[in-house]
Amino acid sequence: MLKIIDLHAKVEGEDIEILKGINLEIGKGEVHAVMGPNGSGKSTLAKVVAGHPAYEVTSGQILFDGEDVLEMEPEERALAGLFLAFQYPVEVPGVSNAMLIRQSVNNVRKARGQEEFDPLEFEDYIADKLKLVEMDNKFLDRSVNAGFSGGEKKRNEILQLAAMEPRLSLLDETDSGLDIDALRIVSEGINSLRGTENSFMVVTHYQRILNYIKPDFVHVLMGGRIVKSGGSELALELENQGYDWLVKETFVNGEAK
Amino acid sequence: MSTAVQFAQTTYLNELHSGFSVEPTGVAPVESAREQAALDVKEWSFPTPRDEDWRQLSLKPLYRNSFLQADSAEISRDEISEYFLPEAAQSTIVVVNGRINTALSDTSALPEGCFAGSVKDAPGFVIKALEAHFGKVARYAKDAFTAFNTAVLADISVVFTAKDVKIEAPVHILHITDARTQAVATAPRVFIYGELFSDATVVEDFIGVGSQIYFNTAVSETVLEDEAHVNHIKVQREQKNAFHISRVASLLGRGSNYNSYTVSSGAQLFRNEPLSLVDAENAHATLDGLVMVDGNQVSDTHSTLDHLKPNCTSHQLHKVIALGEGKSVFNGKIFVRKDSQQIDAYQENRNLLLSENADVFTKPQLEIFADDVKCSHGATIGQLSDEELFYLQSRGLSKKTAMQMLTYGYALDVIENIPVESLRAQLTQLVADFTGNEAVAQV
Repeated sequence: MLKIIDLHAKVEGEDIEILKGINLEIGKGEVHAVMGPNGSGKSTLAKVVAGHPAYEVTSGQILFDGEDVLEMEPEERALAGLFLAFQYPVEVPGVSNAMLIRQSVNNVRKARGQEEFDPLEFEDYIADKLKLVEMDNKFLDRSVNAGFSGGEKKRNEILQLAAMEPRLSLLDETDSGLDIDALRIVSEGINSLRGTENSFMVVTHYQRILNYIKPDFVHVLMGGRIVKSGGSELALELENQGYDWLVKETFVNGEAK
Repeated sequence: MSTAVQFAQTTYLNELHSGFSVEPTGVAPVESAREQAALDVKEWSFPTPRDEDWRQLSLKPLYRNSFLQADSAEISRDEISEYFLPEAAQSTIVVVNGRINTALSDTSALPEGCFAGSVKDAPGFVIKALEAHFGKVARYAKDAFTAFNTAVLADISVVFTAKDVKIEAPVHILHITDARTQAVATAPRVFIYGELFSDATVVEDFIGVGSQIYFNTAVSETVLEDEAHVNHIKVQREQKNAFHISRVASLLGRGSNYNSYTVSSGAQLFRNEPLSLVDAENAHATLDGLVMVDGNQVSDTHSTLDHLKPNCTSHQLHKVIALGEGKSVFNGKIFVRKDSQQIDAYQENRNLLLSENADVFTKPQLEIFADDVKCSHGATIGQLSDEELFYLQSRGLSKKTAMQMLTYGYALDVIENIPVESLRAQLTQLVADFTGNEAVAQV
């Protein structure tokens, strides 16, 4: 479904390379965890796949169902079925959640050749999704993320995810800043959306969320490269031992092996 | 129908005035103010770019045109039905070409002791208030436009709220300029008076019909006795070829509360000069504004908030959205006089530039002579942030839609404080139309 080939990227207008040759393949129905210490490039990877304008891809390829993602605008990627749950969801004062989500959902439906929802149909449709993240109806009338608590913002991301029904969801540190209850709600929401047709890339610093969302594959990103890949047991190993042993194993004299 | 230049700039209003005839109101304090104003129009010259306060605004497009004095005109309810506010069904004054149209007006919802209507029908207590204050609140130094308005006004819309009374319904003053057959000049005038402990909301709404250019010099004066509350909303949605030059003056009594919200999207040239004289302790003034300019529109707000007494607060949020080759000027003066201690004054001017060719000028101007005050001011000129745009694009919205949505959200900040629901909805739509945003939120 997603194929990343030797991807190099840097911050737009700067010279420092952040991603230094990423190779990653995510198949249908799979959940991949991307872990790594601070500054390893894991959030950058998610943002680059979604098309964040702050980054510039210098070489390599990203293919989504064989299509060249790098040629697509962020909204085209979204309509093709890619979704990025933000680490820091943006506040949009004055624009109600209902207004944004309805427009998103209808744009997605249009792109899939389905009928758009009228306001009443949308109300029914979104009611089920709200239940999924245990959010009250009144969240729809509030401005997008404005004045939301950290947990509410993350739940709102999952609400949007659920509403847009993407095929590949990129969760950028969705677990960070969540208390245990919110983490449970968010994780259960995500779990209920798992299926044979849709995939997840869970970017996280800690193993905690992986107790709830069991990954099929775990990748460790360090210094802009994937230095180790394995099954879900790798996450536990990292939780117990930290990232230091990997540094020793993969770097010799400061250079990657 | 407008005729080309034959006026010299400095004497423009004087020459225009000399072609006008006077329609006396029969109200003594008004007529004596008119006599003085006629002399002032002769003496006070029309501003030029050499005047400090007019440096950023060229009046050339105005004085190239001649305007005829507007007659009373017939307008049917159907032609203007979209502008009526349901909340003000029985508290509406319709003004056509500066004259109150009684057939279209309905003020039956006004409580006893209160008055809303033409100065010509005003009861004795209103005349007394006029004697004390008419023409004295609009203290614009040697301002030919205020003088011109006073010299040629045909009527005055008065809203008077009696002691201890709250007028529940908003009073809606719908100012219409009829430019269907010729280029006209009108001089709408408003006088708002709140007695002790009174409370009222007044909406001044400016629209035009017809396709000729027109020139509106609007002046309003608000006087608040102690502890009186007034929300004063000005909506300037004139035709896009109009000239609108206005003064919005207020005088605040002890513990009074004056909240002014101005929303403007119309006119080719708009100059507004809010002036708030906070002349008693514990009073509060709000002078918020939302300005939208597109095409070749020019909008210029020169405000003055004068803290003449201690222990008062003021709030000024002035937001601008500039598209096309639109131009916006903001000059916000805040004076804190020598003995006006413990003043808390907030001023912020935010400008959103959405086109390379739009122009924004901003000049916060604080003059503080007291030493124990809290005054904050800020001015920003910016574009929409990449992060916000990317967020909405990642939700499947095109960049254009994302921009429209963000602009719309930016504008609603000012509108959401307006305490009239149907007007909020109208203005929300106005903003949506301006930004091209088709999805409109409920506010």
